[in-house]
Amino acid sequence: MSQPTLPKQTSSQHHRGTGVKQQHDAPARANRRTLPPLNLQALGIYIAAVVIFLIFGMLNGNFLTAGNLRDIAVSASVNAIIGLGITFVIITGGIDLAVGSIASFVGIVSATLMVNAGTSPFLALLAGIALGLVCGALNGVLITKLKLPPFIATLGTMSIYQGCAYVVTNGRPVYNVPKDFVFMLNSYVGGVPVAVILVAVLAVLCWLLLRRTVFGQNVIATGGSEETAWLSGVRVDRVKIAVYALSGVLAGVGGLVIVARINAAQTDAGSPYLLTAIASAVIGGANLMGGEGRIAGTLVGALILGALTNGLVLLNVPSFYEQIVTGLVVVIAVALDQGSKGWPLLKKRSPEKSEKKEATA
Amino acid sequence: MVAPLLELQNIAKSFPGVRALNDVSFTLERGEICTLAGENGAGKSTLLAILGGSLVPDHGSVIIDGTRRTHFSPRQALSEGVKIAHQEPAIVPQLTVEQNLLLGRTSRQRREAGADIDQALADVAQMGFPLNAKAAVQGLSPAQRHALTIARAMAFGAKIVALDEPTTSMLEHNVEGVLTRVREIAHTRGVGIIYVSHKMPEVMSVSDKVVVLRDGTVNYTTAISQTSEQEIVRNMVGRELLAFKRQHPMPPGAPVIFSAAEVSHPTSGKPLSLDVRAGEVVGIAGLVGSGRTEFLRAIIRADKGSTGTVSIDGKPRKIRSPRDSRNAGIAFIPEERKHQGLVLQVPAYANVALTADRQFNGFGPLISRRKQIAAAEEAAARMSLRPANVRLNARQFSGGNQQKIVIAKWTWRNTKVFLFDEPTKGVDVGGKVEIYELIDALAHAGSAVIVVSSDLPEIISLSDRVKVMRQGQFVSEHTGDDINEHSLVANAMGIAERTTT
Amino acid sequence: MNKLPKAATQIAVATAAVALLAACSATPEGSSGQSGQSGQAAGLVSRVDAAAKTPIKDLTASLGAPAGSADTKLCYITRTLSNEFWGFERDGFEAEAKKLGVKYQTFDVTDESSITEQLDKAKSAANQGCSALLASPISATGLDTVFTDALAKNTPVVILNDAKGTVPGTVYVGPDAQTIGQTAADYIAAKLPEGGKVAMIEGDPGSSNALNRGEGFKAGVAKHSNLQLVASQTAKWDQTKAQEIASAMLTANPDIKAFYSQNDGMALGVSAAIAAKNLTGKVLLIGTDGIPQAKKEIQAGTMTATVSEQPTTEGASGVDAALWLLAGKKVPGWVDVPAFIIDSANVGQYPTGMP
Repeated sequence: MSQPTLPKQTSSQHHRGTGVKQQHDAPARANRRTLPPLNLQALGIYIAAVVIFLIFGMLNGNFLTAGNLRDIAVSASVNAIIGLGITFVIITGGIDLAVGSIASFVGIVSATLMVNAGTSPFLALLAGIALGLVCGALNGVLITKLKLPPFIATLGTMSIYQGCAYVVTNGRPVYNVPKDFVFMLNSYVGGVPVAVILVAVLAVLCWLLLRRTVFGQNVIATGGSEETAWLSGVRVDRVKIAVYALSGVLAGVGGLVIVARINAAQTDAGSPYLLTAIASAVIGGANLMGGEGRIAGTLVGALILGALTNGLVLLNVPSFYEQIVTGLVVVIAVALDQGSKGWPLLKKRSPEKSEKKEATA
Repeated sequence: MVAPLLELQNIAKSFPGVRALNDVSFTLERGEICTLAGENGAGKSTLLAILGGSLVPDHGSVIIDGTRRTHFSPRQALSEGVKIAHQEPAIVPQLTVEQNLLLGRTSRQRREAGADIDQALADVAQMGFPLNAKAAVQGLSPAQRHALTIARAMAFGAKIVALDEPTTSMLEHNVEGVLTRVREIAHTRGVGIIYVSHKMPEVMSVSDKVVVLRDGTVNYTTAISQTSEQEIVRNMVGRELLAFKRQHPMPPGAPVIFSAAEVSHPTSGKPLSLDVRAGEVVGIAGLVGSGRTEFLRAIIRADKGSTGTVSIDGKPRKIRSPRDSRNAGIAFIPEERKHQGLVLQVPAYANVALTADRQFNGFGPLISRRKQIAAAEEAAARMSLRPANVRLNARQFSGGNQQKIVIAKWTWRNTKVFLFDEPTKGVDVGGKVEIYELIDALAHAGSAVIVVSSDLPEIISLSDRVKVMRQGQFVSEHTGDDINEHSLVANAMGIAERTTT
Repeated sequence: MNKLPKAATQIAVATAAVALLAACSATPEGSSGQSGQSGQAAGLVSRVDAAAKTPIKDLTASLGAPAGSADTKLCYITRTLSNEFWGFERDGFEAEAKKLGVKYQTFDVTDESSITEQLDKAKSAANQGCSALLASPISATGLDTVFTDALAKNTPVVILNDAKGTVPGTVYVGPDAQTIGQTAADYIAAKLPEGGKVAMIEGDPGSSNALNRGEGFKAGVAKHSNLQLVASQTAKWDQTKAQEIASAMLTANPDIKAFYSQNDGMALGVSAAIAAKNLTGKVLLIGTDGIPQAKKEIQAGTMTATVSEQPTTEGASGVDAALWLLAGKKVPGWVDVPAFIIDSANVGQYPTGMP
């Protein structure tokens, strides 16, 4: 498999000395548990989430009841699902503005298949996921093959997919979604909502995909430095297309959950999720410059947004103020994330940071 | 006594690991044209940056018109009439000629700029490039853009103007018109000009005086009438050689294992061929911009539109992307380590594994971090990576150790050919020697190595053979004693014929 | 390697969880709970006569004034308050609740596409302990799960405006949107004895109001053989879009005699388009809703008429219906609060606000 071309022992005395020492070190280190270093940046958002939940809990006795927490989890589920896909896209340094439209489009198509064409709920679900995949992959192709900036490409397809969603039913909602379908995505298993279980499963799969596969490492590398990835032999275009396709699939799944939740497919039911899903990812630590993003962070981001909506309702705050609060949370979360990176006490100062532009005469 | 227009006193400037300028002093009079000469890395760019206010010197003073300037900012430099015309014209293609001339000026300054604009346009016309003030710069040729940049620098009350390689994009017959006008402007308006060029005939015809930088110090200052091309080049070379000697020079009779035939990059379009033997280190010398990096990138097909054939062990390989080149056993260690070689925000081991497909997989499609870390630690141990912890992010290593991580990306694979582009850029002296030892060890293990470098001592001490590039082509090949600074520089600058006669 | 079995286990557990879906239930407490609760709810559901449709005036006459107690809390889940129509609906609700001395709370949402946000808020409201739920769903079926749960707990559900719900036991308070469309068509027919070309500006095709008003108008036009519907397009409740569409329609068919706009906001846009072509007064313009600005336009002569709804009355009637149900009275499934024409003849009677 691997045939190092470098001999184990170089002629240099200096080298041999340290080299041997390293050889002794290596097994010792390997025996230690592979504990990732504690990520203080990531910690901030979890603390913030706990604080938000505690504050609402203190202000309203109903907030921390099991039933209400379950409602929060359900209401956060669509944001979380769509946000997971967005997280991948943001890690590559891109953005996907089409997720809301894809959610609407997939929802309306699947519902139409079930209600008007009599397709079985399971097949309709698969068809919806396939449609999400195609829509997302098309975004990726526009971005990689036509070299469109992600913002522009997905701005275009956002409108195209939304238009397609209107065309399917002439703008009419589809009612009378089969009970089986609603049961599949909006019921309870042992008191736990299916949507929440779905989020958990998808999050675990996404985490494995991002952190434990070559694809995931290539996603991070592409976002961290596309040129490095390309020169290292990563098929950057394929990675990007796959990431947008994944985002499309998850947006589609989100759209199907919406259908199950409201017992109907509305032609624009997905549109509010565009900004909130991006906000979930960003609150969770995804960096729009690429290379950074956390699956767990996105889940927490979605939970925080869900808790805000729910908690402010319990406190009888009008929805206009709720938008202000939500905006503030996004701004504060990102500011704290940025701040923690510059916090000298929390992070070892890297030697490269101080290095200015290298001069060549 | 009248103070000189510009006086630099004991200027020193260091960057981490590199001493760019070490006690530079010289003066410039009104109407004088002073050539600043020196090899790549001699400190010319640093000196211009200090003059333009974008770098602050560690020591020393800039004295203009007898007044000492401290905390010199780019804005102050401009208001003092210090203008730098960079090699890459700093103009906005979307704007018109006139708008570019007015760039950076307030609306009030713009209203009063009518005469200056006319003057600048007249200057450009006299250089041989009549331009319409309303024409979009987009439609102009590179030579016209350069002329515009020069005229802009010399208009608007300029007192001190630095022209950095102003004629690179111009044809022979254009250069004369430009230089004549530059001389006229200097003499009639009393502008002091610092002229940076590698073209010796130009230097001889335009300058009053020459200042030669070497290793960050002024090595030679003289009136142009008192010197010759050969004398200037002799003073540019002779940099201190590092105390490094290859332990394992190429053994005689080694077979050719890498051959590039008619390889060309879209930006130059000139086909190049090069064979490298097992255990051989071929150095490629040349001026910045002579097409050396492009040659390496064309080999691995990093950019669309590259052509040519690459053979390994005598067999032609189908290479259409860096991925194909990787799988064929070719490594590329790029110049911009931080943007092209590493993903700074991920651990060193993940960087090392970036050249892997499924080699480090454990359970099904899942990677085994344990395998990745083991491979990275093995490579790190052999290269004495410091700190030896491959779980640290790439960002947390010094330049030299970062370079080791980049090399480690390739050593765990079956890599036969190593293409290095400026392997020790931004690396301190100790780190340099370690990298050299690594390169020597790679060659000793039977790899073919190509090293592109602007650091002549580096090329000289590493290479079994040196190719010199000029304007996208190999102009000379050197082996044995012919690998010396003087002959490499002479060929890189294209004054070799004149030196021999 | 230690990590991998763990990951595998996670996947296995997840798969098992998905497999359990076959045994899933519609409520957190499981399917057994559901059947038990539906028994309890029977009392409430049986008091709502789904087939009956009674005008609010007749109902008040027969059931008498409702009475509330101080421990009663009414919750109203409305739509976006950036649309003043829902503001009047809320005003009616809150004023009546205050008058009758019951507690009340209103929940609003960001905009007209906040379907799931409304669902989440309705759930939060239900968890707050409401004696009765009043709601104006954005999507006709969007709040059905909340309604079903509430009815199961014997909590009355009253739907204010837009469309009759499908969940048995809910009471709808509002006009018949199809009748609104028909009323507009009949009004146009009366004003245009010689007949002519008419055009319709539609709302968002996803909303039941747009669908029903549109169907009603088309049916109404069909009744009058001398009226031809030559153009009908959606402006998605948007005033600017309505103006653009109306301009284009007038260019394509300069002899359009009357416009019907499915709401007044869009009618204002049409009014501007008509004015730009110097046709003010020559082309009839009928809006819907009866918002204050439309009434000003009618007074100024730039709009002909509007089919006015009665949101304030609806909000108040919703409170009445909820209290009647809580008091154990029988209530029809449809409490009709009919829409009526406001034109230059009667606009003076409604100087401010909405009836």
